[in-house]
Amino acid sequence: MKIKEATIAIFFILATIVISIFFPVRNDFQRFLSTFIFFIILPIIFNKFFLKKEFIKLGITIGDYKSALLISLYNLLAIGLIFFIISYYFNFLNIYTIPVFIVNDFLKFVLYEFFMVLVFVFIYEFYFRGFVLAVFREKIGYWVILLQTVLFIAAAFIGNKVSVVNLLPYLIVTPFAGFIAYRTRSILYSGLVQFLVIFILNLIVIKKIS
Amino acid sequence: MFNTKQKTKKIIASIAVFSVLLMQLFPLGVRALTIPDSFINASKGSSVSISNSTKAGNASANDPNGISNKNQGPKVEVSFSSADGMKRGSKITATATPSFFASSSDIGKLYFTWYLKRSGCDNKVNVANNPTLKSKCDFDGDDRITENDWKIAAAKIIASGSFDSNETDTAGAKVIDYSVNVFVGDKKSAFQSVTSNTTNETNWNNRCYVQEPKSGLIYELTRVKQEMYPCPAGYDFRCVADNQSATCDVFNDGMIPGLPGPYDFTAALNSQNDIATKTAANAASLAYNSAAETNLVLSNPSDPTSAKIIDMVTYPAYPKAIVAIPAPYAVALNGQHTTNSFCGVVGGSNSVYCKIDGSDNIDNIKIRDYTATSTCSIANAVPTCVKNAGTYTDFPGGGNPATAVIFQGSVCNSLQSAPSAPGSLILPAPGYVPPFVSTENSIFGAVHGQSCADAKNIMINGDGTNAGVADIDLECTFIKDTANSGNACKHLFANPKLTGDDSGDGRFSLAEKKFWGLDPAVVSTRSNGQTDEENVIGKGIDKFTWMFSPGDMVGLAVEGDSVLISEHADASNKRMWAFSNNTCKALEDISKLPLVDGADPDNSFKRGFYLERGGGEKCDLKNKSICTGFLTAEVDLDSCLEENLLNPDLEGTSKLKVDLAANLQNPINDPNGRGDILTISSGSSNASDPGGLLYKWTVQRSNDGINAPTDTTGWTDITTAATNNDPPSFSSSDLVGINKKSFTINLNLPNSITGPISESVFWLRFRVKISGTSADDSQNAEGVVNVRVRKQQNQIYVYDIIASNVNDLKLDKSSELCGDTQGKIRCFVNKNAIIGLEIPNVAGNVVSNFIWTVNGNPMECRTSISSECVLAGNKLFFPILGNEGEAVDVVASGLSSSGEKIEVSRHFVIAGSQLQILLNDPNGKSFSQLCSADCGSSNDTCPRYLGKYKDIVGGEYPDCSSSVFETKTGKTVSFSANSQSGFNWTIDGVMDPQYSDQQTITLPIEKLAGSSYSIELSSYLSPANKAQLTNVRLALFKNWAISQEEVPEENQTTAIQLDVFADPNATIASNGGFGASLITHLPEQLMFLLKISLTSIFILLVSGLLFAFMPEDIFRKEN
Repeated sequence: MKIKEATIAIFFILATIVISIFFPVRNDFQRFLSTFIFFIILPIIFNKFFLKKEFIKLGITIGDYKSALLISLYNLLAIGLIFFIISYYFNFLNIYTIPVFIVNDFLKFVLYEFFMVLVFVFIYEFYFRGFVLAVFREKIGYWVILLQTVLFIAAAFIGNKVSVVNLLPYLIVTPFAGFIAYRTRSILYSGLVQFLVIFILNLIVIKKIS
Repeated sequence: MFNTKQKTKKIIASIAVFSVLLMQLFPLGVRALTIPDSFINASKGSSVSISNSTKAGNASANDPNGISNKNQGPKVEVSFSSADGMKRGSKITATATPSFFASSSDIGKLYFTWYLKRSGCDNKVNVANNPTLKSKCDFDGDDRITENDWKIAAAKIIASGSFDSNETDTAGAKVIDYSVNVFVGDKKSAFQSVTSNTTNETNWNNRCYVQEPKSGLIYELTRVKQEMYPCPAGYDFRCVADNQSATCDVFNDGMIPGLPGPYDFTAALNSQNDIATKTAANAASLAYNSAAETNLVLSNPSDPTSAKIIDMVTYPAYPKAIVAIPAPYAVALNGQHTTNSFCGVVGGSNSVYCKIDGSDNIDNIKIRDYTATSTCSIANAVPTCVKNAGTYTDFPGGGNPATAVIFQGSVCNSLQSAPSAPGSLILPAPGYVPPFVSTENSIFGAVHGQSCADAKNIMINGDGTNAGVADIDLECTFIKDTANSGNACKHLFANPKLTGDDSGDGRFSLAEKKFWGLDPAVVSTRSNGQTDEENVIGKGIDKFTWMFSPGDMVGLAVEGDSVLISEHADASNKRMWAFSNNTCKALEDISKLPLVDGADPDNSFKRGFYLERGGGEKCDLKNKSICTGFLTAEVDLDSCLEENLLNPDLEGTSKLKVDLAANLQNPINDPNGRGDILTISSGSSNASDPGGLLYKWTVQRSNDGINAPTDTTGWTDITTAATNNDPPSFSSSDLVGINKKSFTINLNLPNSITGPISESVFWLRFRVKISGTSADDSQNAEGVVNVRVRKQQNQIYVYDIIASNVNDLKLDKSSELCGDTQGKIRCFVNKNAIIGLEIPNVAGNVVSNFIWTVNGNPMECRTSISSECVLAGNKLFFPILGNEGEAVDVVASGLSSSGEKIEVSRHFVIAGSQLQILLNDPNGKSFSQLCSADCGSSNDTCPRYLGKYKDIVGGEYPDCSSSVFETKTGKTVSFSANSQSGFNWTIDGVMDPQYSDQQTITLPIEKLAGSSYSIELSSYLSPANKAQLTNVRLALFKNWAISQEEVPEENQTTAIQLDVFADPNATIASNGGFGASLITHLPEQLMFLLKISLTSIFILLVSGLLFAFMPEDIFRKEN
């Protein structure tokens, strides 16, 4: 990729992130739609008309699933170790909060995990681990993992009203997910890890409360 | 010598003998004894007693010249009787029993003005356009129903007796023809026959009296006018005021800054001298010429017409010339000087009037001590007498220096006249200023700035050296206004309003006979020994019998000489009235009448007084001690008649009877809703159709507080207040109804109704009035029962407890639970929690020997539980055992220091969680205030309205959800947690850190109508609370054997739902064009899509532009 495309891509990435943060939304539907357009539709169009790369380059591929799953498993264990440490020493599980309505109703829990968590996990994976990595991996190599982590953390802190504690799972997983996506060239495995972490974490908290 | 004991006996015996003799002087004691007990007391006034009579007489005797409010004025009681009961068409007899009249035993000297108000004949109704009412009610033909029509209605019945003036013969012609029958006439005057040849007659024409019932003061019905006492000879009364000054013209010697140039005194002097010289010369010339003319001689003495010749030898200079007198030096006063302040006249005699001292408070003072003071209508001015000549009144007269001066007239011309007029020969020295103007060198130097009050005081009382002139103190009083209808006395007789034929005028004409429907052929139609006119005016008519019809009301006014002797210097008694109800608001309001005022030329219907010497002579104010004072007032006694109407149906005897009984004795009233439920049952007798009786219930509270009610007890109606109580003590629908034989009241009356909480009991009176159907001839009956009600003075206070690690429980006085109104009715507590109760002692009413029961089981406060516990003490600690929703009732009984058994209770409900999310209304409205069906129309956020529920007495209340609220888009809603623990707020599943540990949150409503918010609140225990929980577990286990598994939950959660609905008050833009309207009404989501699409296109467009215009080698060159 030429420097010119990379420069324009940087502008595009910053523009989409900033505008998505400050774009006015009035309800959850609009929030989803806004995120979907800025983080899915626009990157696809940008990729199609400016970068002129194949769609597969954005990480929508299975690739070498055996090695990818193995990498994912190792990373998952590492992430689990980190959560164990922060839970053990910092009482993380006692201060991490989950929606009340998923605690007592299993159906609501399933719907929440697969239609809320999974969807947003996919969107963020597509943008940060798919689009960002695709744009910069050839130019800056492994440094792209740090770049997407920084971008994600910045977006998370600026744009969300959620407490740091509740953002923590995403922040911890982000570099690992970036590493998985970088190595497997697929966002499916990084997304799977991200989702599993949130899912298991919610399960643990529900179990602890109940 | 007597010893002390004997002395005492003799004194007591003397007093007793004297008292017996004194009592014999008053016949009313005897009269009071003659009042028949068998009569039903139809009046609202209390019965006459011997002690009252004696008291009145004594008061009068002790204070013959003054006013005593101990005197009892005349009274009358009316009773009804009927052989057939109060039925339509039955003959009812009303019997009057007058008292406190001088001639009560001789009713022939009293005038009984009966009046009968038929159903529908309401007072002050215009019947000009209502022929039916006019023929039924308007007897005097003035197209208006008045008290006079009622009197005529009764007087016609009284005077005619059984005589029927409308009787017709078989041919239908009237038997009585007033045009052809021989009129006997009425030689015997009616009213005058009673009083003729007596002093009373004379006095009656001038004096009558009324008594103000509250204070007992007696007023003479007359109008008074002011009487200004004249100033001494040479003086007039004037209004004078302080700080008066004048600006006078003065000569200017050139030394007064800002004034025209100096006055030329030399030129003025020369001018005056020149004028004087020439005037003198002219006078001499005129004298010379005159003398010459006198000495003219005829040239021919025999011819009187011959020319005259002057003796030029004697008058060689004839004629001498008369020179013109030059104009004097223009004495232009070219300066002005303002005097110092002094007391001066500011108003003439027409500014002075007489006014009663002491504003409206003229009660309870000896009337002759009343003072009326001359007053000025000019602000800050005082009246006084000033000399009617000269320009000032000084004291001492002509003294130098003066110690008091009041200026009047032209001050500038006082003392030496200033040479203001040209030609004045007095030429003052240069710099002349009138002495009173200058502060120096003046005989008034000592009185500059003297106030009028001081000046007047010195003039009246002297200055220490010179005696004063007391007569200049302007005095005034009030005297009877004999002109202008000043005598307010009038009879209350029925008046036919025939020209020249008033009732009681001593002349009874044929027109009157016809009007009253009387037999013109006889003097007395009733043949009762009295003339028709005497019967018409009710002379001695103490009984009135008429045919009853439902709705009839009867009243009576009795006129006669009262037992009260007149203070006037004659042998008369006071002519007064008594009314059937012994009440008259117009008399009660006499004290509210304005006081007479000399400034008012009319003074009608006012209150005042006048002073009079013996023989009706004017009182000398310098010697008031020999005068008598009389309170005066002007009232229209006809206005008293309506309120004195009696309803014979209520007052009289009836067949129907009703008795009441209460199901509880000494029930307890508790404003917190824990009082007894009292049921009053009624039992009627003699009713033909008991099931058809209409019951009307009323509730009254005694005004005598804790004292048992007596016949004289005043009662306050609390029916409406109890109905409006929250919650109502009974429903308004329980008050009236067919066959409502019982009445139930929830004794939750607030202290505002029951009286001060310090009074341990109060009395309620339940009154039922039953009305029979036509089967019972529409008779009425009334039943009453009094119930003694104890007040719940003591309260159980609920506290959280502090459990120490030594297993000692203590009340946490800083944390009272359920202290609000709802909480006192129903207190929600956590399962397995320990709560502490205490009954604090009320001041002055210590309660001891408590017995506590929880759900009927005895429970005691052992010292092993708490060091605060004592045997049978006022504290209790107990655990809340049971399941969610179950009730726990705690009852404490004890004995108060006043000997009353007290019983206090609290009602607890075991709740799952006490954590609540409470709505904070921006206008401070409570949940109950917001709970209504139309709350959303006037409030931003409301609890969801669920419907209505009924309480135990049938009262309806709105019911609202405490977990579902409704609001509108664009509003801001505030919620708060009800406890003090740590909080986590979650909005729509997302925990918002900005709300963390916030007891109150504010939420802007951004969602559209139809959507909702889910708001969750979770609380967690702090470390201190956890330690407390451990101690509570220990206490539960040790004291009540409750295992630790059943401890209260550590964390509590609760949630509410906030629905967003369309704002019914939102307005739609209507003035914009089509485009604006389209944009306004585009769905929100479409607008969002449009915005995000445009934003996306913009991003791509900018990216494309950058891509197109950015040179390929821009970065390469840099590299």
